[in-house]
Amino acid sequence: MTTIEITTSVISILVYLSVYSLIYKDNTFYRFIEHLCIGAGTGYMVISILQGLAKTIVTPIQTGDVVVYIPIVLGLLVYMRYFKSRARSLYFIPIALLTGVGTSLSIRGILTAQLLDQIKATIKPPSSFLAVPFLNYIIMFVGTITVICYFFFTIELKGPLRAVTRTGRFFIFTTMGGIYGMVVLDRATGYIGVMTYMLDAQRLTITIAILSLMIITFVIQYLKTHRH
Amino acid sequence: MSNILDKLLNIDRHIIYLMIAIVVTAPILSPLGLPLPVSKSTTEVYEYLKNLPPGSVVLFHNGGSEGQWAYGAPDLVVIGRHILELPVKVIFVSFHYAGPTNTEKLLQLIGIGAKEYGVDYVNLGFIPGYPQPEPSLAAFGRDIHSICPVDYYGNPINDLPLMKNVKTSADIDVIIDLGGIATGEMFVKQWAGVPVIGIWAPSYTATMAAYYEEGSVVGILVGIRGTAEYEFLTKHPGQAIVMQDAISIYHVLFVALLMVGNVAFLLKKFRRSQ
Repeated sequence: MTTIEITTSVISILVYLSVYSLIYKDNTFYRFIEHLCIGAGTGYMVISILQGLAKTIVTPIQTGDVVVYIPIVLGLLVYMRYFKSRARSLYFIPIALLTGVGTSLSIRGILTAQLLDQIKATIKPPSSFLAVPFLNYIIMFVGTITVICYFFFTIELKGPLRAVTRTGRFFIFTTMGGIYGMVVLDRATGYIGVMTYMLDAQRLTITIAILSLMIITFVIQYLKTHRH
Repeated sequence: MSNILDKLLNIDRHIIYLMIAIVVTAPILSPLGLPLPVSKSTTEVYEYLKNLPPGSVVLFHNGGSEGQWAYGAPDLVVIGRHILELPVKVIFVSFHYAGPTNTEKLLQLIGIGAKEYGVDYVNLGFIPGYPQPEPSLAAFGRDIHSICPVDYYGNPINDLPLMKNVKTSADIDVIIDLGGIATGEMFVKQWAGVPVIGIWAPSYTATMAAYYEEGSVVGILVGIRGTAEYEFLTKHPGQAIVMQDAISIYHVLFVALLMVGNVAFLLKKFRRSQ
């Protein structure tokens, strides 16, 4: 490993172990790294956004594109909210524009992607009549119908129709459970990734050294606290 | 008996953390070599990319955050390496401010081989709009040159041979969407008709499954498992394969803990009702 790689590894492993030390309790290592990450992350974000703005604003101005002044003025109007005079109301113009554009864009996409294509996919016959694809098709079809029924509030669904809404609720809970399981898997992936990095043969010594130093610090702090 | 059930239902979380640490550490230090069957969606991604006609234009959206390289970004590396090996044109872009830097690091790591910048690949950098990039993503699809007049290095994109014939989303053959700012759904909605390949975390895959069934999404690499399968298919074993054993064992522990919790809960309920 080169000097740069060793330095990077020491900093990374110190950050990882400090963050995980919160599992033990709130401590100086964790708080230091928390502030460091927030500061560094914010700085990085500001620089990247300024670079992006330079590309989309400064370059067009340099090439004589006057249209770009419109979004600049609209962008500046957002800050009118900090004035207390009547000029404050000018801040509603860009907000209204953004809301309108955002909503219309969403509707445009929703109609095709989230409604028509989904209906087509649901009523499409199964790809084959083998057991698994056909069973999947039945589950998807029944799930779609019953979940839609669950959100049907125009009239109260009684008798046999109640069984339909209950089935819909079962599908909703199953889906929620599946999504929750996936989120757990996401977090596990991050944790296992970090462990793989720290336990790599080249970095194992650094990990053990930093972990030992942290444990010694905690023991000293514990002894100091409980001496009196 | 009641005492044991109470203990099982109130296991200290520190003990669970310790158990997780042990079961994760063991297979990393001593890999088990568990079998890794390749799933249908991963095979679809591989086949789709492999069968792209030479000269096809691929939009590679890297939406990874600052933490993307926390453990080597195996998903970015494996798909980036494969796409740069193929005879296709690649446009790197990001709607996340950290994306371009991550892409630069990828290009340095894997090397670009015989590919020529501006002809075979370009890095358009960050397109502002984060954290709600849908309007800029839609506008980018309608007129790439006006939304992104210069590339990441400040070169006017009109001067880049690759970008001369790429003006709108209609000129893109496939989108590879990687990362965590939920742009997959935005591409499906705003760039209708352009096939999307997703390199997504498992939780986001659950959201996008409907689009996969319907056909707008032509393939998905699901989390680190999908990445490991792709490393296997492309014969570039990397970080994901190393992690796969640990993830499998972690799942076994999690299912066991769920079963213990549920059995203890039901037994306690049963005993109370007697």
